[in-house]
Amino acid sequence: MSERRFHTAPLVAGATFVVLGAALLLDALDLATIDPGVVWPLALIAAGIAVLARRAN
Amino acid sequence: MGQEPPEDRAARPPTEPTLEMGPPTWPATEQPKEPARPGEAPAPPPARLASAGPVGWGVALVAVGVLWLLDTLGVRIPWEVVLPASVVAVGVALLATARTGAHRGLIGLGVVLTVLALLAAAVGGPLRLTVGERVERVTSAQQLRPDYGHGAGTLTLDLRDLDLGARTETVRVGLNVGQLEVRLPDDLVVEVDARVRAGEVEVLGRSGNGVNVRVQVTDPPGEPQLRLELTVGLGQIQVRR
Repeated sequence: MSERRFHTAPLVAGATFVVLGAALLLDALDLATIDPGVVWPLALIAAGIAVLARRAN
Repeated sequence: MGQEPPEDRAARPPTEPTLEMGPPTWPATEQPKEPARPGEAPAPPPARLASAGPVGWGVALVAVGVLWLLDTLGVRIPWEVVLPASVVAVGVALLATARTGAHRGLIGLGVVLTVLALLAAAVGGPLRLTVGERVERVTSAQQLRPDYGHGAGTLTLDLRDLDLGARTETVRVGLNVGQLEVRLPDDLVVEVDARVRAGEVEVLGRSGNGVNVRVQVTDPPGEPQLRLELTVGLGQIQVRR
């Protein structure tokens, strides 16, 4: 039976970075607008997710 | 009653337990290695899976250094696009290495790039790396440039002595963080479009403050001879005569 095991930390962190980076890219290209008041709370949430993902691994 | 005769003693089977030597047993932590045959090279150690983290950090440092050098030499680098794109790239690399486990260091790189990308998004517009106080005094149409930009600090565009003649010009001015001040001639018809991501705008008597503030003024009424597009990420815009 083949082993299919994925590490949690890179999965969660990678998905978070892809989503956040795509949102910021759309804002930079004027295809979407991010409210500055939302930016820093998003940063804290992303950092917390990354820390929790590392501890869960 | 006397001693047992020697010949009877020899015939008697032994009653004491005897120590029998069996095959050698190895400690559980060691396994006997099969010795290499003469002329054969020993087997190479198993290959270790390379981690993507150091590679990612190396590539990121070299890329940022090269782009920063180009920016210093006057090449326009769209940092507001480069940084988010690099965050996405790190995220994809993490997803790709989730199964192999060779991701050590990539999460830290992603966090650093995300912080920088969020900073760039917060200040809005093209990200510039100049810092300090900068004054641009323009007196003729030939001196007037279509774009002025500054990173952080104070940018003053003094157009009080500007003589455009019969020409019509459009000028874009961008400041990431700080105070942007524009001084205009008394009689020039000007159209001003001023935007602040977060801060305060005051244009020829009209003002606003908060988040995503935009003030558009044409003064005095009529066909504008000078169009100003002013953008500040975090800070203040002030336009007066």
